[in-house]
Amino acid sequence: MKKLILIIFLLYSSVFPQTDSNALINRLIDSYIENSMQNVESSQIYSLFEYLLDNPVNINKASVADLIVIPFLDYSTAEKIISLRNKLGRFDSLSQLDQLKDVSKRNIDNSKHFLTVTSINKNRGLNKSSKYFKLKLRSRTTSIIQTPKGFTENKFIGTKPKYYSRLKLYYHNNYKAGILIDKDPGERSINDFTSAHLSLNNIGYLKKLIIGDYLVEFGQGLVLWSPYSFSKSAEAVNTVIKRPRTLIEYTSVDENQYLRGISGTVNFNNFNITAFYSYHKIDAGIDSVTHFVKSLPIDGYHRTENELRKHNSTGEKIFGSIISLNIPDIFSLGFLYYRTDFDNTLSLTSNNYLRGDTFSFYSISYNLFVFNFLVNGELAYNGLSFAGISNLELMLNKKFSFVLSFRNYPSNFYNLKSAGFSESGKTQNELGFYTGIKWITKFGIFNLYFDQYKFPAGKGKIFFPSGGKDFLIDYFSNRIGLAKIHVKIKTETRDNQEKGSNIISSSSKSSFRSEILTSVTKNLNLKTRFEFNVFKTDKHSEKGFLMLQDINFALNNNLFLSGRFLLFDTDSYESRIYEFEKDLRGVIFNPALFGRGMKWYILFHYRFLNTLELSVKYSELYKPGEKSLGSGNSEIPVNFDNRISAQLDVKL
Amino acid sequence: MKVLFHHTVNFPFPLVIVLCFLLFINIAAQSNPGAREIALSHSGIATQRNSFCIFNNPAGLSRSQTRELGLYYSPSPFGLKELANASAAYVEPFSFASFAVAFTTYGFNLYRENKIAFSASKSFYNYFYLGITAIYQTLTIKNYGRGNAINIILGGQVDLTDKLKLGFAIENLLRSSYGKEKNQIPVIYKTGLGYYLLKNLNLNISIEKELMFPVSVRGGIEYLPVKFIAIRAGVNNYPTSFSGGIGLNYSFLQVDYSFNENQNLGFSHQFGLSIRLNKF
Repeated sequence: MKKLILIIFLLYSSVFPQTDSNALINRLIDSYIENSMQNVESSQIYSLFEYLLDNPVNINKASVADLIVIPFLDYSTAEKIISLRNKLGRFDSLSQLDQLKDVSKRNIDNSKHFLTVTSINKNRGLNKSSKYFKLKLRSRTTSIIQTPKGFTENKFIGTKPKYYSRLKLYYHNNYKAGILIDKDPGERSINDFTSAHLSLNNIGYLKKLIIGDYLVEFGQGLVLWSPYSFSKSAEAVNTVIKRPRTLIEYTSVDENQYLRGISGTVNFNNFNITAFYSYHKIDAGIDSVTHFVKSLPIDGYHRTENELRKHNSTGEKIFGSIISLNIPDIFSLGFLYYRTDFDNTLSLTSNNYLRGDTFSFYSISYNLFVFNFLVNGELAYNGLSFAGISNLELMLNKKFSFVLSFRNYPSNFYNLKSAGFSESGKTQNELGFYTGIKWITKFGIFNLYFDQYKFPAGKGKIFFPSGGKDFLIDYFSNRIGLAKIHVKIKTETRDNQEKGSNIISSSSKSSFRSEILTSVTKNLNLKTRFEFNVFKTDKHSEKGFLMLQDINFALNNNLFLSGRFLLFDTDSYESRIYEFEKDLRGVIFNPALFGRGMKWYILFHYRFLNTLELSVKYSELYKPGEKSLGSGNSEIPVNFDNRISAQLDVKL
Repeated sequence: MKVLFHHTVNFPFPLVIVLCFLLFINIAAQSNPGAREIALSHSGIATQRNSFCIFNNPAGLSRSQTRELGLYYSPSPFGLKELANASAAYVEPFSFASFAVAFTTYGFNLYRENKIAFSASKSFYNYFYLGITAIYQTLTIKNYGRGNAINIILGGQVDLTDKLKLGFAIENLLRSSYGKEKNQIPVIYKTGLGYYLLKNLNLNISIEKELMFPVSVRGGIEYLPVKFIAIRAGVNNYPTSFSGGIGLNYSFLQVDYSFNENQNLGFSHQFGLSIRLNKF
């Protein structure tokens, strides 16, 4: 009964009366980062956009640093917004942004969703989004129709469905509270993971205070960042330089990588002082004899006996502080110190450098704005070595911008909460130089990047320095009649050591994707894509192919249908193709497709009574050449995989 | 198709070869009808508008407002009369939608596949067309048995600009099959573009993927040097083949001839006749 009340109580919705924000966020995500997350099922990127929608930046009070948190705005555009504000005195409406010259209209239009002209402290009555009290509830359940081996062999102690529920409360936009519960398939209890927070914003000198679960972001993520960040993507310039949000209320479902305790930022003129403290239990594989931590799993699964043994088996204490000086639009400097203490001593099998139970990190980050340049970087120290990243972003005119980024992460730069810009995703053992260009021409938009990197201490089986290079070119055309064309070509070359050989050779993966996006009418749009890739080493080569058709149809303002049908054919997992799917609000799903088969899904959203929204998705994956799909405990004994998920959103 | 050899029957040897051929070389022998379509190597998915759209891309049926009766015959593909196939289709346009019915037969007395199809197609705003076909098809193998299935084809066409057109279609949307053995009826997804370089010259390209076979890229070109004559040519990379044909058009009558040369299997010829009745 309690569980039932818990479910019913935790219905959540977030609908802005005028726009369908789920469709909007999906469109913004599509338009921004489409393929940068490989193989991550994560709601954290979605929550960045959702966070920005919920916490729009006031363009009458914002500094350049506040504005560039919005991914569509770069430094030069932000500066132009502030100059315009100084000229007009204040902005009375977002449409005044159209007066800006020499900026990308598309980026301004996209960022308007995250901007406001009203002060967050005053209520302007007529504006619905500044009501005194707002409640949002979301509840979601997902299940696979077939039964994986983990259930039939009784390895999983729990039930099949995956549940998620989240409640958010806002009072005057100054006070926010949230609670979230989540259960993965195979886990027993509906609140296998529970997270809650309470935050106060902008009260006197106190810029922010969070009690409960939160995340901290500093600098360029070399030592402290949220668990997800953008990596190389078809937005070649905008995703390289990170925009830290300092303290963030935690609303994601990663079960280990958050901070839990208390944190706050105070603001005096141009200074911000932040302090944070956290202690909570995390999953760890503990050796029964030495009591050392051998592994730190982050998947958050507690389904099997083995996983349950690791559940919350050690504690992590973190405390630290950030001091930053911010001279708006000219210069900013930040200092970070933080220390992590574990209840058990770390002796990880996966990382030779993380040994001990206490780790301290120091870091300096800087931003300097000069004419059309932004010079930015971070230098960090972990007690053993220094890691650094230096970025230069230049916007020559509204049509052309480029970024240069140089990164040096020594091989002994061990870290725990880093997310520095890198090829390997590790902020350790990498030296790289990245160039990105974005060029808006009258034919369309070109994005190009070239990244060269080296792993000074080798990688994988290779024991001496190895490296590689990546190149991408992405072209998005202007409208041609009803359609737009999008072409993306990417090659990744990497040093490789074949099994049983002592010679370093290289492997390369090249992919070519082309799409036609057709807006048939305001309510109906189609997408036709075909993608082809080749994976080659000295000894063999493989290819992969994917073709898909999307139909998206808005029946009226309240009912929205989306369907996709695709066929894929790849020689093996090496030539796999990632397919970024539309899903329920808050879910990002980017599965890898390999082998030979087809997939289709249908998704519908229905909004009713202006406060409720129901979404349902049903999908099927079929691989005729296989006898079973998946492996290990997730293996299902047939060659098709059906999933259904449903979500209810309530907003008051 | 292994299920079909469980039963032992006395077949003359040459016919056994033909049967094997029919059963294993599925795509090449059973092309969708339409002499114009074959002449273009089936690349015209974005521009097709005749009665045989019912099998290729039902969206095209609502492009024209004339009643049309289409007949098609392929007497002996690759020199084997056992592979002969014939088809008849009729389109009736109404102001709100177009409907069509068609019938196809393929094979010989020992192996015969018949299809009867019904289609509905609608145009929206004069630049977007959507159609669906339901085919009831039966396969009869003498002394063995008969299987039947319902095959659904969904197709769409969009006029992106007045010269550039996009088309797509999915065949066997429901993955139906004969009997218990799966995948006996191909699931195919095709998409393509058509471009009217000049009013009397159009270029077509399409990509087709059948679930268990490699991807097939097809190109075709159609040129009308004078109003009455159309010359067509097409190529295909899988199965590797090229094709060509000619069409003669006078008043309400259209006669088409096409040929297709498959790199491994050889030559085949097709004939088509279309009669267009009163403009609506």
